[in-house]
Amino acid sequence: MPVKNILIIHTQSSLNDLQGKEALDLSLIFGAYEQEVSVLFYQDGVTQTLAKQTPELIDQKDYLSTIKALGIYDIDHVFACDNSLNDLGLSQNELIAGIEKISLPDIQQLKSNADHIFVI
Amino acid sequence: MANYLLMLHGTPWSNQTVLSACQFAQAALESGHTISAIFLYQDAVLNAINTLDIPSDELNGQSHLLQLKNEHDIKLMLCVTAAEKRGLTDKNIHSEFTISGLAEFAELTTQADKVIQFK
Repeated sequence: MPVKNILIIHTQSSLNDLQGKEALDLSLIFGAYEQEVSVLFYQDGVTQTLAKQTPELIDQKDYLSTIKALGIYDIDHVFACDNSLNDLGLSQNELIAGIEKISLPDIQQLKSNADHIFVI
Repeated sequence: MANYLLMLHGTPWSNQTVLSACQFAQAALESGHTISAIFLYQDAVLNAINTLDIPSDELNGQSHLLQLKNEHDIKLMLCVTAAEKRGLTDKNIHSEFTISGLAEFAELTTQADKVIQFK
């Protein structure tokens, strides 16, 4: 199977619906097929990367812990958009460890390098 | 000429994006491109349910998908995991749709020139 650069962009807030989970499922399957996967949390999507969330309090399962497990699938490029974090008043030390901040110009570069981009 | 793979996210009755995907597919085929499949993900799996009862003058994404399949033999695939979570089983999925999964979708993605989402 040819290896492609795949970029998955998460844009929805963490627990209002489970779009984030279905985006992660997509990343995991590409990872399982040894594709070059990058994950970007963008706009409201950055809320999925907040470390101290307890979905159980609102009767939800913690799908967000899958983000910590992306490395197991060799998905090591996991980014949160710097601008989006600023817009929401969030800082990197509130995020799950291992997530890198990324600037808008670098996001442009990430998109240019991708063969296929999925936005969920 | 390019090989396209389409991914749908919209529901059958309330969402223009399903029709946009069909219109895109039609135009692409007429221009000599190929469509490897139309893949239904997330709420778009509901386009495959065989008990839809939509008045003939209202938006009906499923009928457009079926027409496309009948005319051009385009493969209509749906994600089984997304489908099961939304109450679909092999008993209520329309026979023109192929039950598939993200694994098949990932393979098709690696072979496609362009993957286009409609959402």
